[in-house]
Amino acid sequence: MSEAALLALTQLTTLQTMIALVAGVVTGLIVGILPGLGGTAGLALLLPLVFGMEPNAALAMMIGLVAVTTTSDTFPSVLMGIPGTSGSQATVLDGFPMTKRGEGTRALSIAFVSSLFGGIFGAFVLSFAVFFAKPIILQIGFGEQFMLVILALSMVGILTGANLWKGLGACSLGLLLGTLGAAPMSGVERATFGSEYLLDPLPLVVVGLAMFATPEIINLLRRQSSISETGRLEPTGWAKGVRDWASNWWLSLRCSMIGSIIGALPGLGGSVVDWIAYGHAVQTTKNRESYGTGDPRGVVAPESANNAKEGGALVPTLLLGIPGSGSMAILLGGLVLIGIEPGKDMIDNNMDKVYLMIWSIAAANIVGAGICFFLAPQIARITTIKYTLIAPFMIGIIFFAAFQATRNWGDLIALLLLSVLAIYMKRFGWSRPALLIGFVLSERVESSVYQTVTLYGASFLERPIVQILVGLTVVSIGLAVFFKQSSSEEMTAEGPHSHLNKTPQWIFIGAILIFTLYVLQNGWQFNPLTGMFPRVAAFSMLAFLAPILVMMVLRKAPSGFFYDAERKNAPESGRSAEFYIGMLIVMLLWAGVVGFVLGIATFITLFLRRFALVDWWKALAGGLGFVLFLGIISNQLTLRYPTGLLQNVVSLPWPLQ
Amino acid sequence: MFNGLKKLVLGAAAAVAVAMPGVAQAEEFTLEGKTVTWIVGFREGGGTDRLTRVLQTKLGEHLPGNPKVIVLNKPGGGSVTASNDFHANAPADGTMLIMASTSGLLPVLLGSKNARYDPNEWVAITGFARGASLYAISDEIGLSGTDMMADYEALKSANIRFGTETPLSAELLDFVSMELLGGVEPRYLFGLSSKDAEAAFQRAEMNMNTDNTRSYLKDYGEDPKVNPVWSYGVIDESGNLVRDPDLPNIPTFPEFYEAVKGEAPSGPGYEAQKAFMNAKVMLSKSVMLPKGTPKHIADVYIEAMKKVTADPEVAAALPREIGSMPLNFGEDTQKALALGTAMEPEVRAWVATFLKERFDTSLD
Repeated sequence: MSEAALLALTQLTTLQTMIALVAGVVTGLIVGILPGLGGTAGLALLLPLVFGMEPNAALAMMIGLVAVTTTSDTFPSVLMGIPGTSGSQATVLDGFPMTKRGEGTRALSIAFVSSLFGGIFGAFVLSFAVFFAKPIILQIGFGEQFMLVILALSMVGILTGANLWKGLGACSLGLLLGTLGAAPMSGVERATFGSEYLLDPLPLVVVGLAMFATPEIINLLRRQSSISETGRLEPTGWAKGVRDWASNWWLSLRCSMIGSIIGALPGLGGSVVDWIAYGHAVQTTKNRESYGTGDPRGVVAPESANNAKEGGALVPTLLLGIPGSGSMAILLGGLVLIGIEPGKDMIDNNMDKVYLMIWSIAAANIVGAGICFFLAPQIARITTIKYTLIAPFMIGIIFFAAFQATRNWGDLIALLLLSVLAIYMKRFGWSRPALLIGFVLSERVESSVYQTVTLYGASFLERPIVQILVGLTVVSIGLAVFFKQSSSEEMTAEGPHSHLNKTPQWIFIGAILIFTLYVLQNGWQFNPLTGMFPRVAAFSMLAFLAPILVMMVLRKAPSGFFYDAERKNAPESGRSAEFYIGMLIVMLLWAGVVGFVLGIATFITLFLRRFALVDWWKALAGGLGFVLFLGIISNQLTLRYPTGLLQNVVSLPWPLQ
Repeated sequence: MFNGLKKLVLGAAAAVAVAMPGVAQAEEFTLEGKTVTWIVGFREGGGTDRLTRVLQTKLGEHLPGNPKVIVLNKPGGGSVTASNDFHANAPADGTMLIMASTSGLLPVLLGSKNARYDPNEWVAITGFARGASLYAISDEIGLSGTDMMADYEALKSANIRFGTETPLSAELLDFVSMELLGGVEPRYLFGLSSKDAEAAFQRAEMNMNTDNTRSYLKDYGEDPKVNPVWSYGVIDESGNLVRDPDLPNIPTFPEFYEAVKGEAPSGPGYEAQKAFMNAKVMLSKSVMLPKGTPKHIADVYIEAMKKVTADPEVAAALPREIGSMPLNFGEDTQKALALGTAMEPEVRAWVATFLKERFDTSLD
């Protein structure tokens, strides 16, 4: 064992392998920082290069890439509130408020140390797990997977926000959104609104961007001159961030464990790791009311977990030849290309290759975090720039990111519609994390309930691991209920919880009700295999809406059920959210005419001129700069952008397609 | 360095062109300075994507003018979305091609209203056949592997658990095959992608599974507990179904049927089985140019694909696609396509009834 480990270390430390590793790390950092792209897209790019490469170097390059995408994805999450990959959605919750306080560097520093620690911990776990994990993984059947989903739901249930009923309603709304499109067990299209786009379920990337990025962008546009409220960046953030991590090392360790376990086990998948870690942090620490307002622990938890999960996800990939995640699936393809067949044979005969991967994960995390630390002071300055100067570019980037989901116009339209939903959820106090969690777990809930019941009936409860998981779930719910804190916000007739003028809230609830009824009546048309889950999700939504409706009608005093952020410090001179929504609609319509690239360029130019009040030539340079950026990316990453009517008539040269 | 290499390859290509008078007409067609876009209707990382990316590395070298070849992933609806788009909009000038797979042919075969494309109108370049077999944990089902009659009795009385994605997936081949035997009633568990089904089989929660033959051999070839029930065979050049070359000792499904029923399979159910077999095995993956592509361009691509697939490096990287099963090109692929995407009305009616009765699923 130690012999193979040493041999692998000497293989890694050759110049050629190290260069390949660094090349992989740099590529991984770039695709991680670009929202919408992650390890899967990055590895797909490397695959043709890997072909014919020296195996050790190829291995180091591929692992180097996968290991660090969740390090650099922190930049957009923390600095701009745009989730860089689905692995860092939870980081936005506390990372971005820290940035708004001017503590961007501190938040980044926490994130990078946590990522580094989590990544190395994941490698450490992998080095043991390859010897004993196989029987454990093979014990995780449908019943266990079902209980894992329930446990996850109970852990994140604490994120329901101030009002429990609205929080549960938001979670149900997530489940409902998850029922749109092809049903997982029958392939039948449900509630597609007649759109071909919904042949598949809504992409998670699009839902994540809509929930977090758009509302923040619009909120900032309305209220602030720069992302950092003070317009400055705290100079001592670095050391502070490291100290923040050090005083939370125990939380970081726990979340790393959670990350690597969830990464290794079947059933949940990588995209909920950050939420579960975040939920765990909220559940098990004191002063939980500070979460969501820029609490360092809210950065430590998801960032430790999301890097640790890569080491964990390698366990089933290498031991069973069954990929633990999307990027692992393509890594598996890469391994076959260089002549390595994962599975028992690899553990018996190619142990040095396994160790090479483990060392590569550790080395890549060090190199990746190092590069991020080095670059961060420069990149963090973006938070001190006048916001109207960067907002149009960020809008361009989130639409670019959404389009990477399925490369379909539908991605852009879905982003717009869901963004409108998210903007009003934020305004009326409906928890967006709760919706996202419901959405992420929706398909897992649907298929694991069906599979467990079909196969075992109630007898799955006799399985020992299931019983342990039931116990953990009870503890988890107990923690949530026992330590539940009520909203401290004062209830006054003038404040956001006022009972006066509820018309906007009525419109919002009415829209949700109509959507729920649509899904419900659609679900009745199908046999149980297709239609049962939408019916259940719709009924749970109605059950949670009922008390809200009762309160809306009957209660004549301020209440936690009522919330309208517009009643709280509404900006005096700023424009309304509806104005910006209208602007996005116009932009998309225009992009439908001239194509995405030209549409965005026009938007950026006009926005810079009109709202940032820069000279015409500078505004034009901004628009052209973005065209160039998109052009270079499309060339390097072999992407294509949505075309408009114009492209159907004439064929335009690069980069205007 | 790459420039030098490019010149060398160009020179070699020119030499080949001069030596082979048959391609003289093709020589006029060039893709120099162009970008060839290869559409994959799935996300990065799947089997179709991996095959395409390996072929991509060499395709440019063998096309006239050495164009840049890029792979563009357009996931959606099991490649239906990308196929619709390809059918309606792809330019027929040799700058765009698609990697089709079984899951793109099935909706056409079953007459789904979502599939607004007809692969028969496309111009076929290459088809990759890939053997498939149905295998099981022998002890659990009571299979001996030596006496087909006894195995049939075992199948009828066993509690078979088979994991699969949906009733309308490529596993229809397995559903229909077992249905034809009569008396075999597996419990199907839906919502499992092939990798989930594979994992559940490894955990022994499922006791029957299907996979391509090469993967089966890699995973379980050495495992005495897991054995094939039958293979789906391969269609040879004269159009006969013969045994899978990778499983020469395993009966094909029709052999198994004949042994246990005393007569060769026939009727609309068997016609459906054959159509699914064609779509799944003979056209596991196929490379196509858009409808209306001129013949001289198609010929250029056929020549190039022949060279690419003959490259030893490519073959080594594609152990599941190249090796045992015959590759087919041009006309042959087109013929297999016609068989794998067409169904007589009474055959489709049989399938519709079967799906309705067995799975409460309709074809739309």
